[in-house]
Amino acid sequence: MPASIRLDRRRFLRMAGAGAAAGAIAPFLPIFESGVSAGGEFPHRHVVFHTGNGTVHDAWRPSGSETSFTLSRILAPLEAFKDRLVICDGLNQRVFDTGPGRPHGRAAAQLLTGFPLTADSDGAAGGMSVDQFIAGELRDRGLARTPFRSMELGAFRVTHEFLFSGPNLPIPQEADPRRAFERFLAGAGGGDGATVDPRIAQRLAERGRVFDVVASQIRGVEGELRGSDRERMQRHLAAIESVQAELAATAMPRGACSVVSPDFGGIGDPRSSAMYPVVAPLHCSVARLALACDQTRVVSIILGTSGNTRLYPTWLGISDEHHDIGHRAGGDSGMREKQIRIEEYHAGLFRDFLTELDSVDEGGPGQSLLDHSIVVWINSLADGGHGMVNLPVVIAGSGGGVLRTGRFMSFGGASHCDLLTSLCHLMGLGDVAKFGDPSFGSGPLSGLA
Amino acid sequence: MRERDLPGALTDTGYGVRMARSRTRIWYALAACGIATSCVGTIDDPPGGAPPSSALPPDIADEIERTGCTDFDIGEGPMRRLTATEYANSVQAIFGVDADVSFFAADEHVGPFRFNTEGAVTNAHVGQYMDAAEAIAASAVSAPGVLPDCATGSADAACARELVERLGLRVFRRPLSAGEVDELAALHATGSGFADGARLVVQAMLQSPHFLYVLEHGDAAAASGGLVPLTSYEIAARLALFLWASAPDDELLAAAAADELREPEQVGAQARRMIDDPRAMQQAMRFYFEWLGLDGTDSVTGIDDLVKDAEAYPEFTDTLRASMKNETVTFLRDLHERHGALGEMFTATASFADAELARHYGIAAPASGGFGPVELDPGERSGLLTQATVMSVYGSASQSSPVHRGVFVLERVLCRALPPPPPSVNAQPPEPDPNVPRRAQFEQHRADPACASCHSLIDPVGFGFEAYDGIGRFRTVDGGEPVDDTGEITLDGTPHAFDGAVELSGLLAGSDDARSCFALQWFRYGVARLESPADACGLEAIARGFAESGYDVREVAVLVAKSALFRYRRTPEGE
Repeated sequence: MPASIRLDRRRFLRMAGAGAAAGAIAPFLPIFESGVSAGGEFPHRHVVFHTGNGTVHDAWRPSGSETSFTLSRILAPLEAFKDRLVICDGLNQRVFDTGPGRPHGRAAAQLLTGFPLTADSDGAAGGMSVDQFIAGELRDRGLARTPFRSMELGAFRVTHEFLFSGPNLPIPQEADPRRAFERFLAGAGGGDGATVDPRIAQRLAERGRVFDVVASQIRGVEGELRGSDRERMQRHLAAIESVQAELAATAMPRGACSVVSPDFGGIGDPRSSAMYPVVAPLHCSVARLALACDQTRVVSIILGTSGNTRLYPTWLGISDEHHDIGHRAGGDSGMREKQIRIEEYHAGLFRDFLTELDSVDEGGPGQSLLDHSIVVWINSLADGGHGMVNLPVVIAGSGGGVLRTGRFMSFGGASHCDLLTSLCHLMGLGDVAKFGDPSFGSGPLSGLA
Repeated sequence: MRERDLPGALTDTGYGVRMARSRTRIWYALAACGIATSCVGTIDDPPGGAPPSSALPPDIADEIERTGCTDFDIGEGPMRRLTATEYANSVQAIFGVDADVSFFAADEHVGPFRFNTEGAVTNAHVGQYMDAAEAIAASAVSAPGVLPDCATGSADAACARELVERLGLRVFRRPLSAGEVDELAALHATGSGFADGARLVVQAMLQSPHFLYVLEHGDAAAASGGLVPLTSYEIAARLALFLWASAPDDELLAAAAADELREPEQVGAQARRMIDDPRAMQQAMRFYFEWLGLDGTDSVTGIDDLVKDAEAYPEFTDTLRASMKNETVTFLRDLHERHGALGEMFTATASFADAELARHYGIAAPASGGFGPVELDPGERSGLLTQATVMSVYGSASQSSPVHRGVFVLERVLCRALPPPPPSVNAQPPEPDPNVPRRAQFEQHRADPACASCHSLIDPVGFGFEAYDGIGRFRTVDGGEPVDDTGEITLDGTPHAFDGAVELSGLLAGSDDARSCFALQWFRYGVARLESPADACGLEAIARGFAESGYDVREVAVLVAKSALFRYRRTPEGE
């Protein structure tokens, strides 16, 4: 058993309902106060689960009608969750046909931003990615005051940028689940929920003194710089202040949330191809723990980035490279079969992730962490040959009943920007008219919510 | 953005065509193969005007005299943040501690090279820097020579100041101001003892912007015509990063303290000393592997991670792959050690192999046993481009790859910009077919007018390598037919027909295009930015110096270091 988690529901709800009491532990923010109503509702979470290099559409697309359908070969591993999914066909990444950039770089950077690149550089996104937008809005609107705004995980070597805090501002993903656990969860759990372990408090104070000196130096430097150099320095300072807040918040023991570390033994080099089948599920476990403990409400797991990531799925008995397989799947039956098997494997990973989320009870039947989440499995390419028609999209969870599930929908070539808009709406941000470049979108997907 | 076409950019020579990066806002006009009518790039006009030559400092005027340039200027460059390698090497040089930087977020690229000049530090970076600094500081305070002698006795505030000043000089690559010493000494005083205070100081220094970024202001008082000479400490930092990817050593710091890194000859003398150091050889190897993409690019897998189709190439074992890399590294080291000429890099038949690689090349194992010098068949091999490493990296899993090889020569060896492949067209290589020559499979590119504009330039270069299979073995038959490795390439403005990679390498060896590209790549490596049109005169001076050296591959780093492009900066707008 790699991990276990014990959530004391009564304590969780007591804390959740006791915003005023939690406020007594100032200066640390009352973590469960805002997202959880006095009635004891659990917060809603937004999760992106990305796999790359496209799918094989006719082996992915279910058959049947919206409410009566049969899962395809690729999606068959999700059978147990069939009535908790919305399978979305007919979404195109229209943004893809414009702007500079090389195919995989633009596919990646445009997927979650909905903007064309502004230059031939993977980091030159035109806007913020949807995960960062949702995380920012949840915080700015006082809907979530979690220790971490968002969590970014990425199994394997990252060769393209997916997540952006703004134009030209890529956010790296943590490749090592052990490091992710330490950063997002090491401070969580234990204690009596009111006092900070003195050793942790001492470390926090020490780090604070070091950061104060560094911040003072950055302020001194920043004034001497101009233009983008100055902006970069200002962002560095903002990041330091943000990390200090994260450290302070994670130092606060979480009486309601007892965390047992997953077994990270034998990871080796977490960026190596051979470790992918070990690292990817561990990322899912860390994500589940962070969501269950309400360390954050927005998680992105970027698996197998599109492009030349040198992923060799040897654990499937496949010796070719994933990107190469994707390109050749359209013209070679052997490669097509390999691509389908990789997709089946990813469907299995996604199923296991959903199973983990569903194992966290948040209020009885139909009230699991999965039920309170919107989990989107998406691919930056429709097919490995840079195709952008019919992106494979599966949404799991109902976002606390906002999404009607058990459906297979076709959107007839709608812009994938509309999906991004819908994701905002599903997280309670209904006033977002269009996400991404407005010339590529027309509003939320009709009939989804 | 203003754009102007550069007709015939692909056959242009010298510095007219740039790699596209967002910073310089140079990009490609044609979006897709299906729209393109010709294979051209676009480029911005240089911002602002060049300063009048009369206003230039005398040492730059010398460079102008050498080249006959009348409009000397220097392109602007963004602030750079240390790469993981520069960080780790600096820590090793200063504290004698091996830093684990394996978890650092990936470095960015400037052209083919790893530099961080665009992205902003995020929370993830801050956490990584914090973790690294805490681990290093814990080791550093018990490492020999890090704490001052006074710390062993009755450590006091004066001793703490001595510590801060001594470490600060190395970590910040310049002396600290009194205020900076005060601030760090105050942090030291919060520790639970001298060593504990030192640990906090090291933590703060390693997370400081003065360490993590290369902050350059120059000597404003000596500015002239908008060009500001860097201070001697700034030059010392640049030299250490350029030639060693590390922090300045004692000698550089002493030269900086004496303000003796201002004149070209002073900088050249230090550079010459530094390139004889083993660290410079490591850095030169990093140059070659990044320049040539041998450790991977956004379209090919690097030699260390390379895997081939086991059915097509059962011979491609881990040991053979390691021997291939060993050959390339040993070959380039040897070239550098003996001040070889660039032409030899393209034409040498003397190389290095062990028995397995010798068998791969179809020659006898080296007489020395183990890994040793060999002589390759001059009818089959010619220098670096025909080495098994290059042919394997730029080969597909089970076949040769004319497009990758053609793009490699045009972009990497000749610095020519190619538009990206069209986004919505499946850039799918033809399936290898044992009954059809590889070359014939690519004729579609030439037949389709939409693709031909670029591929009529790429493929005839790549076809020149058709005598090497996907793992670099020489072959005379492919797909049941004799190999056709004839091709065409335009060099120095002249179209050439050639028969095979040996002839192609000979043409490259004698071409000014390849020479100026080599010098240009070293310039990029030296200043961590792409060239801009403003740099044309300075680049011309480097290229001339390179010619005068007899195209000595080792001398070019010295030429870059001595160049005004390295020693000065342009005052950014608004300063």
